[in-house]
Amino acid sequence: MQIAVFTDFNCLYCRFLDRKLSGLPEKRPDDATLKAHHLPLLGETSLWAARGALAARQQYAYIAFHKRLMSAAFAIDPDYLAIVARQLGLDEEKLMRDAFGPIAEREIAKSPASAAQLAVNGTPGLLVGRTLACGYVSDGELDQLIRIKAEETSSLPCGVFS
Amino acid sequence: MRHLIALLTFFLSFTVGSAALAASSDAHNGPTTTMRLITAENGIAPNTRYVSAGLHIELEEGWKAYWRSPGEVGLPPEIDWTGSENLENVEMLWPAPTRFRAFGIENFGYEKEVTIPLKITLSNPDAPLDLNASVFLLVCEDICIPEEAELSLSLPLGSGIDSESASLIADAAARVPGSIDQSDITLTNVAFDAAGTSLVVEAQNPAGWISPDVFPELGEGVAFGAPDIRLGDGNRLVWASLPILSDPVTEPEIQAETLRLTLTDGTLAVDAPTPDLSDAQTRPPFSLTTANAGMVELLSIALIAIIGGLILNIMPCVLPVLSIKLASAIKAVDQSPARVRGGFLMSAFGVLAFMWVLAAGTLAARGMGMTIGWGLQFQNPLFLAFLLAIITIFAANMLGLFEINLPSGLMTRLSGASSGGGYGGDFATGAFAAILATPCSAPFLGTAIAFAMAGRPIDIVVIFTALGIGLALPYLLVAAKPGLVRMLPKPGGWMNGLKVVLGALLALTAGWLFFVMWGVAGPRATLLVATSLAALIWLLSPLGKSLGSARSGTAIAAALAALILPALVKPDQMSPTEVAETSWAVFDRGQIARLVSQGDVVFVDVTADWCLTCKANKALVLDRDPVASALTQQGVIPMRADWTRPNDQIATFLQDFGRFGIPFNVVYGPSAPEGVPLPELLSSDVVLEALAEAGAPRLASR
Repeated sequence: MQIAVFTDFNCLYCRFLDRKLSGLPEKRPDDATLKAHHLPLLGETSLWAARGALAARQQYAYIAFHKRLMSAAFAIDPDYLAIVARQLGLDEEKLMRDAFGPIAEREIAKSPASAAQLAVNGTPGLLVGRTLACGYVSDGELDQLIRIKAEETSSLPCGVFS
Repeated sequence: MRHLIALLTFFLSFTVGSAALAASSDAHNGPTTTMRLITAENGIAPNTRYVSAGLHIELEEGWKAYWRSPGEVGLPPEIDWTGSENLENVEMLWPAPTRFRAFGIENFGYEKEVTIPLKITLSNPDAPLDLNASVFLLVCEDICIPEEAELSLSLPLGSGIDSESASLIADAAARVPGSIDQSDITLTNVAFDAAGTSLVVEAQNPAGWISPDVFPELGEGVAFGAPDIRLGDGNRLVWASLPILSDPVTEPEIQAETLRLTLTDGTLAVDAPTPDLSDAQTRPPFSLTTANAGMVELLSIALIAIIGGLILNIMPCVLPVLSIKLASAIKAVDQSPARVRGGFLMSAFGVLAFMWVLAAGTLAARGMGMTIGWGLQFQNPLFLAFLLAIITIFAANMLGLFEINLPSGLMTRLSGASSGGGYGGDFATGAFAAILATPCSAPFLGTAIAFAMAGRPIDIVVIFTALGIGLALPYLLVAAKPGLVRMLPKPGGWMNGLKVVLGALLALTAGWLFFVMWGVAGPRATLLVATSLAALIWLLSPLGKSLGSARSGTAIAAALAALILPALVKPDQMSPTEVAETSWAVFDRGQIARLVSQGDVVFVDVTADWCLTCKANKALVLDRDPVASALTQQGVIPMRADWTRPNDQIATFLQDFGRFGIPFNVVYGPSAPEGVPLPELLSSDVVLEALAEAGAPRLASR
């Protein structure tokens, strides 16, 4: 089961949805894969955060970095990214380089396009199988989305995110 | 500031006019938002320097736009004026915001409808104006959507006022905070605490406050948690305390001089761009909790205090003392009813006497601005040493280590009313029962104590007296019916066995007091007191007889040493093992709001070595399943505040909840950012329910 979420570090409901979703692969290790797409709508600090997280992925520290940034309630800037990288024991220089590297640039360019294609107009936006949910979803709604997915016979549209 | 006033007058001057031309751009109709650019003027009259414009925003139900300082998350509206003609400068004026709260995070902004006034300066005072605004507006419900709009508006040369636009702009301009210096409002205290964890703002409004709010701004990287706002002085005083949430990663220095304050109250709003800072924070107005309680309220609380006092008798603190009384009562079987009655009345008086001492002490401490609370004397090493000396001597006497035959007869009186003479022993027993009752709390007691401590002197005296009456009720009952004593078994050989049991109980109490002292004064002071007391007992026992005439002098020296030494020895640092023993985090008030904003549930336990009820809660509820495992699960942070030694941070925390005694437990979470206080005596159900309630994220708009 593929779950995709469009998220932004500065968006309050994204934080709480991401937190909820991050527990899913653990709860359903066999069939849930989660992919976060950064859709930095909330200004420059959101963009910095997205770049930092994408760069951290290239040092296999995406989840730790993502988690750290999500709990940071403050404007994220290059200095902030450097401090977090240091605290997580990452290569700080590489991280700052990768933040503007081709991989990060491609992801950042791709997310809004994917979002537009799926008519995701804001964050958080959640795609479970073929069902799109705009905005925050409660525990019950998430269960329902997963049930709907289980009843689907094909899982076509997620090809966009592979 | 004169500048702003002039500006306001400028905006407010457009009230009526002709509506020949609509001075408005085409509306942008987004899914959630309608936006227009409006101007008060229909055209540019000759020699015009300024034009008053506005960005008019209408939001669907539940959607919000943000203020210039949006809070922890969010983004203020941005306007790019590229492509405009004859435009020199645009100043955005921000109407006072509304406070929003979701998941315990504070946000500031606007809902439904808002106009952001724009003060436009022209480059050429005699030329038409072309406005071309690219607006980027972030709006959030439970999803955040950026609304982008291109708004254009042209003002040809001409004159006239659009009354509709002008009144929209004028209304919004009236909501832009004016200078505090031009208002009747005065700031009486603006202060950060030394640790940089909170800001207190106090302001006077001679016309009175109704529902004030305070919006401080302190640059990026520092946000403020939910304010604790209180009114005092007949609602003329507002006192607000706001926790400062610094970024735990970058830990920025607080730039106190960059502080800017906005105060609002209904439609009133004032701006203090550079408030004068004080060194010390003022205390909250006390009148909040009990604004001059009426006679009926006082009496009903007094009744509660009597019940609380009565229940205290069965708490573990008082039991050892009751046993002393019991022992002497058994011996009193043969005494005349009058003597029995007198003895028990004297005990009751002893209870009351100590309560009055406590009331007087509390009043004096409050007068000197010291921390007040129930059982706080147990934070004092001297008091502990005194209590220890007496309990140890009692215990040793009960256990038959010595018979007291001191010439002064002081000890005889203290040790019990076995002789038919003085009532001193009875009095002392009563006073002791009261002293030992103070580290315990009971149902009803907290309510009564909180009422008294926050109230007037008369409240303190009445409530403490009522507590004493409650505590003394068992004695008063026997005094009323002295015949009850005869129902006790006749004295006999079994008495020696009972004495050993009671002595053991007292020894246990002494052991507990040593433990308390260890925590309060440290190992060195405790060991010194223990050694002195051991020496004293040895001197009093038959073994000490060999010293002969020097005996009493040495005994007094030992007793004095036990009492005075703790004052001379500096307390050691708290042993870190206390904290490391479990997964409990050390209490840090500033962290609570931070953790809650991340979706965590925080369980705070305020405890102390001397608080026996706390120990009972710990052993019976907190350290046991299901609560123990509920507290260690993911997303729950248990936090412990140790009040064994005096601590201002903890005292203030308790007072903010109107509590003056412990145990105190409170649960914070995304659904309960202000905290849910729990009763003194915990049960598993109460704790689990509070954890669940605080944890479940509640959606504001669904």
